[in-house]
Amino acid sequence: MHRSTTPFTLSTRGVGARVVGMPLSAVKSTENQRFSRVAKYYGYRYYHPQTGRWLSRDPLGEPGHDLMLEMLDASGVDQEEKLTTDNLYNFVFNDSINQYDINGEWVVPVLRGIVAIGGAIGMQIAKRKAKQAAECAAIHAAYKAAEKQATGCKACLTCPEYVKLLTARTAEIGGRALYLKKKCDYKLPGSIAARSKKKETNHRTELANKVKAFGNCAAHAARENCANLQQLPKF
Amino acid sequence: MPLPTKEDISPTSGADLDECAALEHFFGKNQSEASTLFFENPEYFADDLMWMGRKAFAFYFPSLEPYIISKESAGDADIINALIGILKARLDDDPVSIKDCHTPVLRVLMFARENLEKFQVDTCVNGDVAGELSDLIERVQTLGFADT
Repeated sequence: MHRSTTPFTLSTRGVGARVVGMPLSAVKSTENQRFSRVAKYYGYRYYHPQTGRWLSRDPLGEPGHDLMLEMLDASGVDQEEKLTTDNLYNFVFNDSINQYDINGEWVVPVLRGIVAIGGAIGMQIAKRKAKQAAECAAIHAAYKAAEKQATGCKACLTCPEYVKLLTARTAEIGGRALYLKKKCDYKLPGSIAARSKKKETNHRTELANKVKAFGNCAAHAARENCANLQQLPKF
Repeated sequence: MPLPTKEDISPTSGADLDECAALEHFFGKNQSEASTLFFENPEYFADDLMWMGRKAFAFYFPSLEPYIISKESAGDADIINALIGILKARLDDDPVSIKDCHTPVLRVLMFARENLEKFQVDTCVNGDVAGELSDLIERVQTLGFADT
């Protein structure tokens, strides 16, 4: 039996064809029963039909969401599209006539033949790539910030100063290792433009130098007989 | 010599994150101001030399020299490792970038090799730094650029 809903999936009386914008999960009745009178569960988050809004932010929107918006700005996306993208609570970009949400994370255009399917897949890939790039950018920003706090280790500092510097250096090294592990130089558009292989090689050189810098700082600290020093985890 | 443009510092026009950091730190700065940055946080700002464009590298590399030869760099083994990493990368990827700062590059490398004890380079941690410096000096010399 089909349920009748408003375009934003608010249930109405009567029986009829599935309304555009109604989620597949609603048809399959996968929503949490206790919560289903006020909110619908889509797999990743709850949707509130009365207001036409999600009850939590789009999980794909974070972290690095601000950077994604800057990228959208740079790509010439018009203001209206940016505003809908900017709001992580809105439902199907406020366009339930032409789009529906499959799990609280992915918006899919109403199918109009195979072209629409291709478009939907393309959009998902683009969104995934934007997410990966945003994540890599966040890792890069974090390790650069840690690096700024990690430099300046030399002889004759106090033990608390060494602990602080070694902790920052460990954070920096961890961030750099994660950046390389996630193959960020093959995901960030700027790194691709600057040649990914070269970037990766040079980032590895930098990482090796940072590990040496940790060793140099730890040696200074050891000479000052500092106890409970930060150990460098194996990456 | 005119200041490097944004494109000189970031050939990808700010798309690359490392170039972008270099742009943020160095754009609009003359050599004296850049030198101040290297005294302020040598290792952090020296990293930018790895990523900036060819013209900008030739312009800003000489600004590192005052720090290297100063008393301030005593005990700073990290800057020597950074220096080796930067110049190796430049020689591997873009040896022409050394052309316009051939003389200061050689001068800095030779100073570092001859004053290694000043930088307190621990070979257990840093490896054969003297050997690496000698290799770099040889590579730069064999490039055969004549400084004008």
